[in-house]
Amino acid sequence: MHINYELFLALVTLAIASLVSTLVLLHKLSRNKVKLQDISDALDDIAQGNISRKLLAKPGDPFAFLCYRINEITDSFRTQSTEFKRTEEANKQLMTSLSHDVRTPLTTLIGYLDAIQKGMVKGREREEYTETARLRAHDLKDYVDLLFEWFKLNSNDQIYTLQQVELAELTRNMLKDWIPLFEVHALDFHIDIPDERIEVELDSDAYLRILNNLLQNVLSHSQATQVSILLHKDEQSAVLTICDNGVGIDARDLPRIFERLYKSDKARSGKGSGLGLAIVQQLLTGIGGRITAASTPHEQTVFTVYFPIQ
Amino acid sequence: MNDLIIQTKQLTKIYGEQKSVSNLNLHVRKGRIYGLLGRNGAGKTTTMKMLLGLTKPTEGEISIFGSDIQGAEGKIYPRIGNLIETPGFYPNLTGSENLKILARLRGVPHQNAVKRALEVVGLPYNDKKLLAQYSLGMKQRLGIANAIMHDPELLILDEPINGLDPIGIAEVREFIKRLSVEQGKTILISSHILSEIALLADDIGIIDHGVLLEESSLEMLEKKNSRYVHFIVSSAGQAARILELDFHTSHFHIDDDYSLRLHDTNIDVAAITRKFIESGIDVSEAHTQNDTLEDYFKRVTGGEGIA
Repeated sequence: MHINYELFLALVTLAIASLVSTLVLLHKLSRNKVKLQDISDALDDIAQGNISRKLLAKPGDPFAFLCYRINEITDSFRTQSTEFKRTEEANKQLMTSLSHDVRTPLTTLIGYLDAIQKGMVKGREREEYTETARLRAHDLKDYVDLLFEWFKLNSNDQIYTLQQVELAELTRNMLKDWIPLFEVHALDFHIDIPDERIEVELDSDAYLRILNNLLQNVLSHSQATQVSILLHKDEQSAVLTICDNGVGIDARDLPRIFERLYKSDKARSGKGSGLGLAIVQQLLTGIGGRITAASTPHEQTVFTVYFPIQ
Repeated sequence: MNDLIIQTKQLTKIYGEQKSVSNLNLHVRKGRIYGLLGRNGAGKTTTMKMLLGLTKPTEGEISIFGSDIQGAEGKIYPRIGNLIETPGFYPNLTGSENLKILARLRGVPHQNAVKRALEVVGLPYNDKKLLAQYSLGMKQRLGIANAIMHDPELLILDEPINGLDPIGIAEVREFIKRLSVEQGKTILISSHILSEIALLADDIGIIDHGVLLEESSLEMLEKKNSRYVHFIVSSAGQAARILELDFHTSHFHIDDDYSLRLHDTNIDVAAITRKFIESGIDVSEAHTQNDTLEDYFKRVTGGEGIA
């Protein structure tokens, strides 16, 4: 009897133990089932095109590695897709403002030509009208050229030829062409380029366009009376600084001036395509440089361009 | 519509006698930054709390990711990141330790999610600084790191720039923008500072005394609220020529053959109209639009304005 009792106790203990472990196992299984259902739901969502959907897993969870791996894959798709959407959005925006930016000068130009054609002006005035119309036509062509350049840069067709150049001499040569223009615009200029050699690896065509666009920006929009162009070298980069005392850029506009087509309120209605600085930005991305802007309106506006020294 | 991430219908919250939020119909579109603008106490935080299930609406419906939140909380909330008031962090642990605990609780999408989130907000990973020694700005950044750690599709951020210095504000603005542009996240953000919202948001909702006064894209609002004189004339081209030659301005836009907007509002409109008519141009409309965005907000909020 005594033995039987012990046997009975052992059996009961065994039964309880196996019941508990079965319950634990069942619980685990059902938890896994829930987790698998969650994963499956999320995958359905992803399959429907929601590539931002993420699978969440606690570190150490048996499914964690699977979730993390799937997330990595959707992540790379998301990057591609947002890039694509961004380009699409930019192009849409470009088309809208394009029609605007072409329509205004073109309609104005037609206004002059119509006046001539209808005989509203005679003699010298007529000649002046013709000249105005001609200049407008040239402005429009310049705008279209710029637009084409921007499109080319933006479609990644641009190939950069990086080669070792000496920036000090290159910059001096490029600025030679600008000095007569500064004089015509009654712009006091100050150029400070060191005698030392600044060896940089870059695409000199891209550099020329960056410099030209920045200086053109000063001439067209700043109404400045002074401009300084400085070049120096620090440990990591060659630094080009262009500084003027013109109307400047409002703090509100400053973060956005390198966006394509962004124009500050002052420039919005006047001339200017909103493309010059966007092109600078694009070129710098292409050759691995960067640009910053700072401005105290009517005191000092500074564009600083950094070219890495390899 | 399919691309609405958040939609509320007649959302209302009454605290006792006080109607804190009244019949709100919000529409937050996918991939956009939606700025909820209103003064302190306008009902922004209450609205966000209702969206997040932190407080129960008195009336109305909320749908997020296209499904009613009631009964689907467990499926919806893991896909949202939020910063609402100060999150409860442990003061005697470091920032990284705090996030690691939350990662273990909620699950994360990557092995090194904590490190990545800290990088985005510019806080060091695994440093020794305890939360008790954090400045208000650092706590705010950690709060944002916590909100983005699980890479959610939707972010709900209540006054995320509170307590930050000007440089911090610019940085936070920058990475919020990046999250939207690079990762296509939908972001609902509240603020009482107009200029902040104007720099960041794609869409704006203005809330005042619990009522949504306006919901529109920033682009539309800016277009509606800039200073210009709108002319409808028989020939925009001829009008343009006269503006250039007689009034020496090129600050105008031509919308079509008959419609021209002059942005130079310092010129006497009567003198322009007179000159147009003298030159054989019919003027059927000359209308001055003189509101700035600030004026507009003052007007819709009943004159008191927003910072």
